[in-house]
Amino acid sequence: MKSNDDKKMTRRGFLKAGGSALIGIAVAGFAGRSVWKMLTDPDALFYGRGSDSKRKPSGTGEKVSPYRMTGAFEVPDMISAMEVMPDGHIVIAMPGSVCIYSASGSLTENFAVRSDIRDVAVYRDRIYLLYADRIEIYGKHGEELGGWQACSEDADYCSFTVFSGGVFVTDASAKNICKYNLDGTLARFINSPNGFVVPSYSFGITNIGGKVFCSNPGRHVVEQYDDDGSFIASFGESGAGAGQFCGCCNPVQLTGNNAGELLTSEKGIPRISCYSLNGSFRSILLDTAALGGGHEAYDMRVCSDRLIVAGRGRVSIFQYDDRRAAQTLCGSCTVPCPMKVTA
Amino acid sequence: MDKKKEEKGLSSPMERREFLRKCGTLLAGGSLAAIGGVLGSRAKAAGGDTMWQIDPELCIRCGRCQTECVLPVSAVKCFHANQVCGYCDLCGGYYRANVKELNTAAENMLCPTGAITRRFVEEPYFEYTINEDLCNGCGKCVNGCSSFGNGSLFLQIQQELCLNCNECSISKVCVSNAIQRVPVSSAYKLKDKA
Amino acid sequence: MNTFLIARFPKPDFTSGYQYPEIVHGLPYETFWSWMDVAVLIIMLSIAAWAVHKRRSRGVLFTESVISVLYFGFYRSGCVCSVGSIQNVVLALNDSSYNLPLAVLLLFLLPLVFALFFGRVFCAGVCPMGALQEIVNVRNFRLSRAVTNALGFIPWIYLAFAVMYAATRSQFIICRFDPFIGIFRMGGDIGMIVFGVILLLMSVFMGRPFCQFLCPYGALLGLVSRVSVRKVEVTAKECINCTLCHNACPVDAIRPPHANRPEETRMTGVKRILLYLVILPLLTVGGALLMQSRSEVLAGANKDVRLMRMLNEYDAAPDEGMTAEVEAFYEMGRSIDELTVRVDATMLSFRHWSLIAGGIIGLALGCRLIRLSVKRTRKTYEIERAACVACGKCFNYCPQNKSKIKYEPQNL
Repeated sequence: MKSNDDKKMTRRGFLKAGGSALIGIAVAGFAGRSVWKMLTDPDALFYGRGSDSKRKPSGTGEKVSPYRMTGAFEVPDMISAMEVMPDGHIVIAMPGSVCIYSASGSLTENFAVRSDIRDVAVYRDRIYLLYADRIEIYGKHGEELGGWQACSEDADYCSFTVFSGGVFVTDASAKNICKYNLDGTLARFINSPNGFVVPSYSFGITNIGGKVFCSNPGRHVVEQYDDDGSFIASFGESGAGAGQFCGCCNPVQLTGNNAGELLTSEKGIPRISCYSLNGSFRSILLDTAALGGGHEAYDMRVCSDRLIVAGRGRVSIFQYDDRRAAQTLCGSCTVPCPMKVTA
Repeated sequence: MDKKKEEKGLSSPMERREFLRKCGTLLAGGSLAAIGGVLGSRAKAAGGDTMWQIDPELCIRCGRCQTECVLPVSAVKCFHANQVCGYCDLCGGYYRANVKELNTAAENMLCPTGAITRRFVEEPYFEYTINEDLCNGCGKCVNGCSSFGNGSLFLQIQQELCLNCNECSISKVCVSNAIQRVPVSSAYKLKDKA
Repeated sequence: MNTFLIARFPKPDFTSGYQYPEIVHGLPYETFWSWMDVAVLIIMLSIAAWAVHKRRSRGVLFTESVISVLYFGFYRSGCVCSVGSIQNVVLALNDSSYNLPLAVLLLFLLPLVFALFFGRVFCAGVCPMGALQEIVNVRNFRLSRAVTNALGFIPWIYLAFAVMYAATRSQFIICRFDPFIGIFRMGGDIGMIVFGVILLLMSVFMGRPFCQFLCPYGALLGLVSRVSVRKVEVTAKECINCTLCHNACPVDAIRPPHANRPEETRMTGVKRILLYLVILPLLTVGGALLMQSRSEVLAGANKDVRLMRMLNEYDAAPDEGMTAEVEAFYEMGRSIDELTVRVDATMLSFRHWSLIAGGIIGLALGCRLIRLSVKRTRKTYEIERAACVACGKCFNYCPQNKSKIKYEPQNL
């Protein structure tokens, strides 16, 4: 009898010891694991597996920009338009004033103007300002040099380009291009053979190599004319992917780079893309994140090896970056581009 | 022996322990009172309870509102600020991007659950409404509206569904720190007037 | 930055008399319910204190447990609870810009104030987590004292980390690791729900595993109840050393009597005190410095620090792609200078608070070691104040509570 009792006691004792060990290991194990994780890798413990949330760039390199921001400065007001002078100074048109900055961002000139500036252009050391119903010309230091009224009372001008071939102004209400001679006399109207579709104030125009390039925003194409107004060609297609124009009216802004290629700036999904003059898509140069977000289109100009972008109260300077470009179409492009100077 | 102990007064272990315990009680009581006083006066000045809200200016519609809420269907819903809406036919939040035909075919819809309905008002205006029972807080319509429209659609926490957790599990991973606590008196951050 | 108010498409001019719909967004009566919580808390704490000290009724406490699980647990979804309120209070003490609602402050203070007067009556039947474990408990399997003592240290580690992470505004880890909240609100992180179910299964066989081994608020309540004005007594009458209460206690808080120790010399006592005076500061400072050496890694739990790390990783290897946080950072046009200022402030805060957290752990460890080595003379069965959760199981076992006949104590 006594031996049976002994066995019972040891079995209970064994159960107690075993149970204690089990529960002790379970609780201490959980607590210990948590403490260990907190002391070594809290990110994985609190936020899940960190490496899973990284995004790999897609094959077309849409998510990585080949350009890197190398400088930026704030401006005091909303930016209506931007232009770069041949000597590298940056002209910023804001509601009610025009500021001229040096390339490093220090203010050199500042003069007051009317508040509804639509666009700004620089030609032969003169600053041309475009309003909805007139064009005004100023000298480099703000001295008034003249200007002229729009040819029609219903004119609602969006943007313009000034070069030796004349002053080409896009009109959002008449949905055409007004060509003026440099002395202000009206030369002719330019209509698109496809018809301009202009749903909103996005009607960009520029000149490259003596030819005029403008957007037909509702049709998502870029059209090319020569300086007497005859249509040459057009390219472009609708879509949200790289090499396409998204939303209702894009591209908003156009400019040329010093390799003779065309740069477009879009709104909605802001991005700056590069095309050849006959319409082959080269690469996205700056995507939404690199530009600084938002939905408005950014104004951009090329100056030697720098890409200058203006928007959201800030002027940013971007330069080509080998490492980033390696993953993009820009890196594999064979066009001899002066911007691809390694910084 | 007993007399000696009585004479020694506080030197017996029991009474020493009692004395230490009384000191401890006073210390603990004092600390609790101090904490209560400091924080209580501050709490009275600050005002009452707070609730979680998304700041529509900061939200970039990363999509985590749909997946991170502790509730099976997220408490984050799409709200419509009608006063800001343009009532357009080609609605950036209703139709998917680059839609070819403006009809109600399923492949043209942006909303994955069909929570946006529209009603013809007058030429050329349409009124868009969100059915909150179907909305899952994915933010696709908000993205479309903000990119191509007036931005009248926005994501916001529906307070009748929200459990008001001590630490909102979406706010922990919100990429733009848009979810913060706001006082109950201004408990809804809305995109009200145009 | 009212960019969203710039209407790309103009406001429509309705000619048919269309009226904008009036949309009213509903607000729950949050203020009312949080004050209701405080009121219910006060009432239940008072009833528990009365039931433990005056009536010695386990039935009342069990009923309170059921009510607590139903109201605080399922109806109010278990949030905000007194356990989590530690974090809010610590954050408010450290950061004067943090808005701490008065109701949350009371949720933190009231159980502690009651503990100061009456012992851990909060744990008795008011805390929903303790109540849940109490309701499912059937058997009383007790662990060996060694394991209980070792595991009983975990709440202090938990408390130290919770304080550090709350004060630096990084994480509310008590909320993150709450095992029962998933059951109460019927949704949430699946891992914690599984852990909660495991704890409940353990609670069927043994008493209150969460309260004994994990609850950080229990550590504070235990500390305060050590110096409570009134002590929980098994019976109002004299103890007759029948052992029944010791066997009944689920948390092993009732200590059996010890044989009288021989009187020790004064020198031994002095030497012991000196040893304690050396060990305690050594452990405290050692713990503090050890934690501080890891403060940079610990800071990785903070959102800003994590973002900075991601930005640096992206800058170093842009071809690996950006995370959603980096993308949002650039899209919002935030400046890295502003982030650097915040991250520097956070790292400094972590250096201070890791010191405090390590000090708490070191101090708690030292005190625990000292307490374990002290043997007290006891003639009868006594409740150890800090460990007793006032569940009242012992009341029904003690024969002195049942019988009208007064038993005379046996002379051992």
